[in-house]
Parts: sequence; C-alpha cells; structure tokens
Amino acid sequence: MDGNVVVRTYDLTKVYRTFWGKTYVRALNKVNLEVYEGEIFALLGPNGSGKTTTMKLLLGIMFPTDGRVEVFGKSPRDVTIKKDVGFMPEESYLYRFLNADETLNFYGNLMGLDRKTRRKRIDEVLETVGLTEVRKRRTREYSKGMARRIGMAQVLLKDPKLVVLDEPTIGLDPMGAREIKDVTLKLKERGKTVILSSHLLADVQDICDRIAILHRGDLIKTDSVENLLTIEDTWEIVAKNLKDETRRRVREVIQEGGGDLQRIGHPRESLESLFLKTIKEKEVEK
Amino acid sequence: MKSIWHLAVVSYKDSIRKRILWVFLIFSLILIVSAVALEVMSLERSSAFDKTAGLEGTDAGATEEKMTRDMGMASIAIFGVLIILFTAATQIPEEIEGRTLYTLLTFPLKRRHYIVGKFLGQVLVILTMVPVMTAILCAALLIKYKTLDLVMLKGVYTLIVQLSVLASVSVMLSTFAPVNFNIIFCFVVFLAGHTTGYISTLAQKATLLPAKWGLTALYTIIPNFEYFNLSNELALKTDVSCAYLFSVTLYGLIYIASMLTIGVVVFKDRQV
Repeated sequence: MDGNVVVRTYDLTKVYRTFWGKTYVRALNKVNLEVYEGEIFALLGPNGSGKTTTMKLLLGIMFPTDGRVEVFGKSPRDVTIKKDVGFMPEESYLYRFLNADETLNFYGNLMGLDRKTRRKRIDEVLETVGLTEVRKRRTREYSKGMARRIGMAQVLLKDPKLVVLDEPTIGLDPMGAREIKDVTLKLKERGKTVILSSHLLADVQDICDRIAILHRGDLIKTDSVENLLTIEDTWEIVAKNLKDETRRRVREVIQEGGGDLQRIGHPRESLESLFLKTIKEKEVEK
Repeated sequence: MKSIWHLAVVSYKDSIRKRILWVFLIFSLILIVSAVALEVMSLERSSAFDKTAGLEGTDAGATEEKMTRDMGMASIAIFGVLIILFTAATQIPEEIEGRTLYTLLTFPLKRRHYIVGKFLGQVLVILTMVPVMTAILCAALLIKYKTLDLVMLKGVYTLIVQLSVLASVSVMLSTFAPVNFNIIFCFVVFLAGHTTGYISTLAQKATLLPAKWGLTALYTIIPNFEYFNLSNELALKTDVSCAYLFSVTLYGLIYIASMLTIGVVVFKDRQV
C-alpha cells in the first residue's frame, strides 16, 4: 500500500526477564511491520500473542530488548511526538476521585490548550461521546461503557494524527461497540491513522483496511482485509427482484459453464445489524 | 513546566478526596480538642511530685498549657505522617497498577515532570491538612489559655518542611518499591530520623571500622528530623531565629532535591 509510513518497526523484539536476568517470555520476536497514513490497521492474535506489548512499545511506555520502533520517523520516547499520538487503553484507567470535566480539563492542560479552546473542545467531545449530563459525576461511579467513553473523549480532545486503540469494543454491548466503530471510521475520514488491537474478529473485519496476525510473538501474516478474506475461486452475485425463471436460467448457465454451484438463496443480514435495527425501531416507537 | 503544576493540582485533588485522609483529620482534631478540654494536671498535687517532675516554683497553669500544646503538636505531627504515608506512598503505585499512567505517558509530559508534579501534589496536601489542624489547636489554646506562642507557629513551619522531606522519600521509593514496603520503610525513616543523634554517638564510639563506616553512612543518609524539632525551644520559651528557619529550609530543600533526583533517574527507564 502506498502512502506515508506513520509507524515502522525494525526487527522489534521484546523479552521479559526474571529478576536474575533469565528469559521469562519472548513477547515479540523480530517483528517488522509498517502502518501507513490514513489507514485503519489491526493487530490480531490470541491472548499472549504480543498485541499489547507491540502497542506499549510504539507508545514509548515500554522499551524494546532489540530492534527499534519509529513513530513519525522518531523514537516513541521523544516527547515532541506525544501530541500527535492518542491512546485509548483497554480499560479506561481514570483518576477515580475526579469527574469527567476535571479529567478532560487536566488532559487539555497537558496538551497546552488555552482555557477557551479547552472548554470548547471539552464540551464538544463530551457531546460526541454522550457524557454531557454526567460530566460532574466522579469517574469512580461510571459504568464500564461510560469509562470507555471518557477514554475515547481524551483521545478526541487531543485530536492526534495517530490513534491507538487497545481492544476498543471489548466488554461493550452491540450498540456501544457500533458507536466506537463509527467513531473509528470518522477518524479515518478525517485523515487520522488508527491502530487497533482486538480479538473480536467480526468487529475488525467491519472497519479495518489492513491487519497483522501475531502468534506467540511472531508476525504470521500481514495484508489488506480484502486480500486476506477474498476467496479467489468463488464468485458471489447479489441481485434483487430475481424471478424464479431467471434463477433457473442462472443455475443452468453456471452448470453448463462447468461451475460448481454452491448456493442460491436469500442472503442473511448480520446479527449485529438486525439487533441495532430492532432496538432503533423500538426507540422510535417510544 | 506548567505540566508540573497541572499534575500537582490533579494529584492534590485525587489525594484530598480520599476518605481516609478525612478520617485521620477528624481523629487528630478529636485528639487536639481532647488534649485541651481535659485537665492534663490536677492543681492539687504533692510537693514531692513537683520535685520529681522538676515543677518546683512553676506555675501550674503555664505547665498545663505547655503540655497541652505539646500534645497538640505531637498529634499534628503523627497524623501528618500518617497522611503522607497513605497518599505519597500509594499514588504512583496506584497509577502504575491502575494503569492511569499508561494514558498519562502518551501525553507531552516528561517523566521527570511527572515525579516532581506528584511530589508537589503531596506538598499541597500537607499545606492543606497541617494548617487546618494547627488552626484548631490555636483556636483551642486561645479559648482556654488566652495565649498563643509564636514559636509554636515556627514549629509548625518546620513540621511542614519535615513532612515534605518525608513525602520526597516516599515519592522516590514509589518509583520502584511496592506500596507496603514504601509505607513501612517511610515510617521507619521517620522514627530513625528522630534518633540520628544516637546513631551519630554510636558511630563515634564504634571500634570496628565497618560498623563505624556503616553507622556514619546511615547517619548521613537518614534525614535528621531532630533538626526540625522545636519542642525544646517551645519548652524553654526561647525564640527561633530566622537564620535557623532558613537553615532548616535549606537542609530540607537539599534533601528533597536529592530524593527527587534519585526518583527521576529510576523512573526515567522504568517500564510500565
């Protein structure tokens, strides 16, 4: 894929050692990957595959044992790039005794935003994530979904060029997950680069451009979703208002052409879209 | 540099809203008020007691006021230490374990600013709690004895510096040590800091060289909290000069700077 490289790793290796220096676990093993500007890139893998370690390394909160990472051409430990990188952790770990306003105000201050800009942006992001009404409630009283939204809010407040999301939809109900996915797609529309990690494959398939599959620290595969999921020797034709006669003729043409007809039938919508549609209809009725 | 202040304010707010702090504050106020309200010494006493206690010819009221003030100051000191132990020792480990630090380190915030900001937040907690306790003690002394000793206020100032030094030790330890170790170690440092005179004497009298060196090193490393203690001056009603207060402040600042430097160096490469 063409485009500017936002993140690049060179033989990235991370080994966790015991106190005595003995190798405890090799979390990443010579991983080489590139993330391009404006794409949504997913790190996939089972638990313990190295997804979170990769994220921590490219955020600069952990350091490689070997190899290196470059973010915007610089080391992740360089403070100057921090304003261009936003991170939403798996759990939104917040200062429990502060409320949403104070939390975002604090992060806004760290960004160096002036008072007027800060207040305006905080109002906007709270509106976007739907937490305006509970802005004065302490975050210790928040539900999981609300805490996750604050996590997203501090990312949006930063308005960074690169957004890193660690398991963004885990633990959320289908509507919450859909909201996060929609926000992620909007980030892409605004030209942001998004890196996310997940083991909820359906969520990743919906929104990602490219994926990397990790397993026990090794990079197994990396390519676009399109290339990886396309079944080359099978074709799908979707048509509306097909009469029975037309269907019979299509079947005949395929068989005459030597094709192996797998299925002619009605397509199925996803369970997610059915669920969301049903809930929305109920809410409209009310 | 502004980030240090913002971090200090958030650190302060996060600490000051913890219920345990307010429990300590209430207990200290109960202790202070009790010390003033209860009769410390009975006016009816024997001359033998006066001789033993060195109170011959003394005014019983003044002695009672002195003991009440000392008890009040001791309460402020003890609860000040407890407040530091339960805030400074827990903040950074809580943020590491609670992973609040992950998000924080993705912001344009230098790690050394984080350490200094955390420490300043604790200083703000001290500057809130100690004056509140002092104000209650002063009010109680004024109501009961119609007197207020300026030396006592100087003693409160040196206590604030002392607690700040202890907070710096705690913040330094919290960059690498678990919470339990930090609390116990800081408490031991607080106690040992009031016995540095004995350590110095032992070091002088030690005959074995390793023991002499070890004790001398210990005497040098442990903060000399007796230097901040004005109880003798309070007892003898001698004034404390500004020069002395300046030297106490300077000693405190140097010690704090040393502790924070160690904390910054350790935390710089700490992986979370």
